[in-house]
Amino acid sequence: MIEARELTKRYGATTAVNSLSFTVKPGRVTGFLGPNGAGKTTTLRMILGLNTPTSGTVTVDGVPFRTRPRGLRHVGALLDAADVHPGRTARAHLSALAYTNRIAQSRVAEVLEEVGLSGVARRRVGGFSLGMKQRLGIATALLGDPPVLLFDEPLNGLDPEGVLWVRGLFRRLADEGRTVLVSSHMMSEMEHTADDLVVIGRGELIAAEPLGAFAARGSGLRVVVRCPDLRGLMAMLAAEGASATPGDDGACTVTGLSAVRVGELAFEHRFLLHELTPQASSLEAAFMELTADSVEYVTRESK
Amino acid sequence: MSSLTTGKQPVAPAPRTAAEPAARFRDLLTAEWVKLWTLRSTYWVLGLGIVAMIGIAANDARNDMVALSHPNPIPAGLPKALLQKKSGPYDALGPAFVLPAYQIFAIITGSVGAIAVFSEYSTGLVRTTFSAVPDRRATTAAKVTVMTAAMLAVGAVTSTASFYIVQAIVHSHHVDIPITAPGAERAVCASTLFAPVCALSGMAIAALLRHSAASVLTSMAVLLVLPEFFTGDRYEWVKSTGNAMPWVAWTRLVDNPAAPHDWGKWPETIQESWTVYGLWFLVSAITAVVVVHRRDV
Repeated sequence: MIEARELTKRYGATTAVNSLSFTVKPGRVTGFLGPNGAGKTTTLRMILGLNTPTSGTVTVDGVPFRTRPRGLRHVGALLDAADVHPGRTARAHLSALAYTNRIAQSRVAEVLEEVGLSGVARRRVGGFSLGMKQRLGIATALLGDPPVLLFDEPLNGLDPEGVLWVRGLFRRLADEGRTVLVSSHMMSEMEHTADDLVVIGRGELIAAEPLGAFAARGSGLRVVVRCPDLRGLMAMLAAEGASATPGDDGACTVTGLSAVRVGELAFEHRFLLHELTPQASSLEAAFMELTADSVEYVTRESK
Repeated sequence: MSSLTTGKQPVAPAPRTAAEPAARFRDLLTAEWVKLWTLRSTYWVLGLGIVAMIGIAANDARNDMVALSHPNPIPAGLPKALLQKKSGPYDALGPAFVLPAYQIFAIITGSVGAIAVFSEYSTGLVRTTFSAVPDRRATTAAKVTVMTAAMLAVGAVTSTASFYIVQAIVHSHHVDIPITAPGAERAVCASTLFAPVCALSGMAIAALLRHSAASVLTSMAVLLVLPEFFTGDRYEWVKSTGNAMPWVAWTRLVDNPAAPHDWGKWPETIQESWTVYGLWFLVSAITAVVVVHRRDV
């Protein structure tokens, strides 16, 4: 369980995280989403006590993480796969970490086996690919068998097999009753992974709710209509306050009215419909829409 | 009917938190020791450093013996500087604790200390380290302790070996001295302790600057360049400031009482020199621990 209350971090005049409150529940995979620069990494660092909040608090299982003498049995974290010394071997890296927390050295071989790095355990990390470093970071997080796990952009650099494996791993960890928080700037990565979502933009909370509830927030109601008299139908719908955009295949997409209402109106005005399909708004669309105002780095094309 | 279905609700098992063993400082020492000796660069830098130091001392002693074997005029090809060594009684401590060698030593040990700290920051490892051990003061204290132990070993090997090898070489002219000679043990001890004092200074500077090149350059500047600005016999405060530097304290402590150096006005006493060592060590250790504890990483 992770609880953030009014968490704020300012760097001089810049507010990286502003009055953020959310709860991450055990037994679920929680996606932590936001565009680049939204404050995800800063928030994760504050959870781990690496950065001190300007104001507000964040606790892990009721305790501010920094007050614990040792951390690996409480929180396992992969912040950045590059947070290792390139000159050490994978085994030496994990071995030193295991010593700090009085974790049996035999556990090092176990986690290396689990992430599939046994074969390169004695190779120096500097020669690892990004995907291998991600696996080493995941091994580090698993080392203390902790009840809470944090992963910052864990899918970067992983091959498709690795992505599948990581998704399965998150699911298993959550099913074991652990709290799993996974950050990403890609909604599509979360679609098949997360149960809950915490969405932030420009350091502020946009949504904290189950995945399904979030998907339903998107502007939603979108209906595809096909009709011989498309122009007439669109004019009628516009008059009823809906907006209709013609597609290139003789159909049009209507927003602002439910499929039922479009059907009723067509019936009243004697339009013949060939198709009437309600479209669930995709998570990606909901995410883009909700974070549109809070994107920090806008490219010229999307302005 | 309802009683049958309630049993099917998925209940997430409570997370098992394994009984946590008590936190021990000893574990952090082990971890830091492992971290130091699992980097190849540690062996290279310290190994080459020790060999270079002993080599310089041996070469210096050998040159002295060549000079002693050739009374005036000095044969062509020998450095003029050798002339000066021939006045007064022979200083058998001199070649073992020669200034340029220990300037190199200060650079090596200061850099090793600085690297131990800034490499954590520059690689990002520090975030992994402090996620594993949120008690940063204990971690830094362990790093300081391990560095001190390693540097004491390096310093002891270097200074003891230099002393005995130099004596073995100058024995050919029967000008060698035993370790029990006045000032000999003190010189060996002072040179041993010089290593951790420099390394800790490097650690404190790296903790403050957290930048690789800046940390190494500043360590060199503080350990070796700064003392050069505070010399001369014109103002007492200038001389006193210079006397408060570990480099000056080291030169004072390795001085051979049998062939004393002229220290000018306001010389530093032996007692003061040891105090300077102690203060630099303590202030550096405390600075590193406090700064690392307080700053975001």
